[in-house]
Amino acid sequence: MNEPVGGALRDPRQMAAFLKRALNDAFRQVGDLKVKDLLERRYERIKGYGRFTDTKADSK
Amino acid sequence: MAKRTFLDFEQPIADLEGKIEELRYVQTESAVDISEEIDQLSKKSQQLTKDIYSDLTPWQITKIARHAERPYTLDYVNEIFTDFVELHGDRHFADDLSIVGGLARFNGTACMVLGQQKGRDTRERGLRNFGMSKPEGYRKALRLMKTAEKFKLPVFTFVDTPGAYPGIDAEERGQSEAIGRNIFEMAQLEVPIITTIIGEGGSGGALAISVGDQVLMLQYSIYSVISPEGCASILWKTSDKAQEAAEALGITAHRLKSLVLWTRS
Repeated sequence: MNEPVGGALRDPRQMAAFLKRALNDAFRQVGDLKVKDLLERRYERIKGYGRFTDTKADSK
Repeated sequence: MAKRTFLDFEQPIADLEGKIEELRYVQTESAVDISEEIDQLSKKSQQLTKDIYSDLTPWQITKIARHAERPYTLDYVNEIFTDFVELHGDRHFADDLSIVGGLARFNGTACMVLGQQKGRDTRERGLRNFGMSKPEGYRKALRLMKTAEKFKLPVFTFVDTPGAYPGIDAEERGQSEAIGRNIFEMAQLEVPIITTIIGEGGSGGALAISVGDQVLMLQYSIYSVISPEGCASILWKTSDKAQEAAEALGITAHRLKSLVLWTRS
């Protein structure tokens, strides 16, 4: 999420306004989900953490 | 205007701002109009800030994330939420002031907000333990989240901590159990959880309140398993290499987005 030029501390008001908008968007996306869907979604998200490449053990 | 504190890489901006300040002072005393020059210098200062901030190293971002003047949880709570009522204590041991939380309204909707709070001055920093929570802090957070679940209120959390407090007393009361339980409980909490990393997201201390449906991260915030200094002192036996560690850890919002650790911008 973008911050004002020079970082949040240079313009905390503006930063709070940015954050409020982002929180509003975020809340709209999950606020109306049914409990089951919400938990399912959270579970999938956490499960998706991390990426790796599988190297075969055949070559030395 | 309050005096700004500049970071080392901001020195050129500091010099320029100093010059502007000097000119302003001179102007009030002299008859010659130099306001145009001041305007020009102000513009130049803004451009300089933009240039410097467009190309920051992870270590520099770490410094911004820790900046003593950066807005903390309560600053955001006051700006964004209304009707905030702080709730205290974990109903087991004590009230940990490094985590603040309570009921509030977000755009009129009742909700629960909580987050780590560092201190502004020396006294407050001591009181809030620099934003490093002990088990009772995490248990307080859990208590609030459970309360939110009971009343079907969405939860907003704000993360800003160097890490969980590593003291003996914290371990005695089960620091890792408290963090682990929070993660466990948050994964199945039946209300929406929206998390924002607003400054430092230090390891377990951050995880204990950041298992969310939506995870946001500010541009100049960091999120990592260990502080760059800690990492450097373990790997290279000296915290002087923190800069390299910051580079290697990939702790900035930009890097973490490529790893899909947070959900949206």
